[in-house]
Amino acid sequence: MKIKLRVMVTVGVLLLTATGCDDARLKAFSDFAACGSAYVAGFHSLTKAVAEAEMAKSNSILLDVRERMYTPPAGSAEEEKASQKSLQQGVETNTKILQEYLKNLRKLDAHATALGAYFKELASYTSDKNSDAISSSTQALADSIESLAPGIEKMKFGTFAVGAARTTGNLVIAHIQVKTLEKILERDLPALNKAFALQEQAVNALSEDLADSVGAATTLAEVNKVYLPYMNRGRLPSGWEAERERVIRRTVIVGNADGAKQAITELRAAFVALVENKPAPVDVHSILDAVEKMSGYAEAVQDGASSN
Amino acid sequence: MARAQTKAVKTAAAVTAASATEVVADAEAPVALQSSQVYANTLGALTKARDSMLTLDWHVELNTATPEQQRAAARTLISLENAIMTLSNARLSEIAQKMSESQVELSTATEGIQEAEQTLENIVGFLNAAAKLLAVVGKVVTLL
Repeated sequence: MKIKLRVMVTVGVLLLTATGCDDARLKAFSDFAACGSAYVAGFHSLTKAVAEAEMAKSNSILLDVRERMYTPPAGSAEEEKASQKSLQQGVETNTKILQEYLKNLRKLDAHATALGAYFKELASYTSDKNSDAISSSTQALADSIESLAPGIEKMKFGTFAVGAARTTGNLVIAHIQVKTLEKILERDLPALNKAFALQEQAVNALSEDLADSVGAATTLAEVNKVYLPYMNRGRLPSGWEAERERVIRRTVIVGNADGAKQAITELRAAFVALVENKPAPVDVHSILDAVEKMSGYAEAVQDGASSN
Repeated sequence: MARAQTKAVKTAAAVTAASATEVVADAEAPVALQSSQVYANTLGALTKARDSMLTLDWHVELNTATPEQQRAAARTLISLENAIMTLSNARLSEIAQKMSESQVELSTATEGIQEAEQTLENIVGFLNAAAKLLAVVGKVVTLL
């Protein structure tokens, strides 16, 4: 009887220990999925901002080129025709490249959407929805056992109460969930590694393009809408002060594109830590903070681009 | 005026020449550069040249240049910008191409989780069925 009791206690302790580990691991997967989904939303904001900034830059440069082409007094008919031809070729080529660029952005967005779908499924798998369903199932099972043999729930084997069977049901399922997730992680490792590497490349390229577009458009706005009108003789155009304020505010956001790089770098590091089963692999606060910076920057760029 | 014109043209020429030299030097370097380095250097040189044509100094200097120089500057600016965009686009296109392949892998992985969830739902279903069965057994037992 004593041996039976010891076995029961040992089983109980082992179960509780395993549960603690499974819960922590399940939470790590769940946190990773939540951070991944937030990153994907941030990435969509980034591509939208890049599209608007590229168009704003393109417009600013085309207008500057046109202004420069027609500032000198009109020359001969031949010269005028040549100028028109240059402008036509310039704007046509630029439009074509911009259209291709936007198409590529859409492909990048589609990849992020596929990654988002993966995170969504992962979140769904680790969500409370499953444990709630299991909880109600085990509850029904325990109730049935109770009605079948009244009083069995109150029975105890050492410290392990039969009533805990409901919880035990959850523990078993949590264990199954974690084991399945480990297998999923192992199976998807190459695909996810590749996807994260590509996302990192994309974010680096987009951040550079964004910094370039915002920088170029801001410089031209500063020169053509603020400095030159101010330096030229005569009355300043109406709204000059507001334009100057807008440009000054915009110059502040030019060098702020690091949030996106930080977000993908940290998410990828969290993924590696999750694979290596490190304790507390996902720093949710830090990743979400980086994603917030990424989205905030993208919004600021979009606001600036729309006011150009 | 003539001095200003000369200065504007010299500035543009200096920037373009320096950028071109960098690119040519990279391309002819004895140690083969990786394509990503050549790409980065070329894009950097083009951007540097274009950026110098957006500055206030450039605009002020150009105001004193001849009409032909001004038109040539306009043509150069749009050519530089289009070249920059072509290179940026090529880089994005390469990434997008690889992403299309990765997207298929991600979709397969996502389906894998959906299947796993189905298995979990089966377990829940089994527990529910067992509970129902036990409830029936309970009723039968009370009848005995």
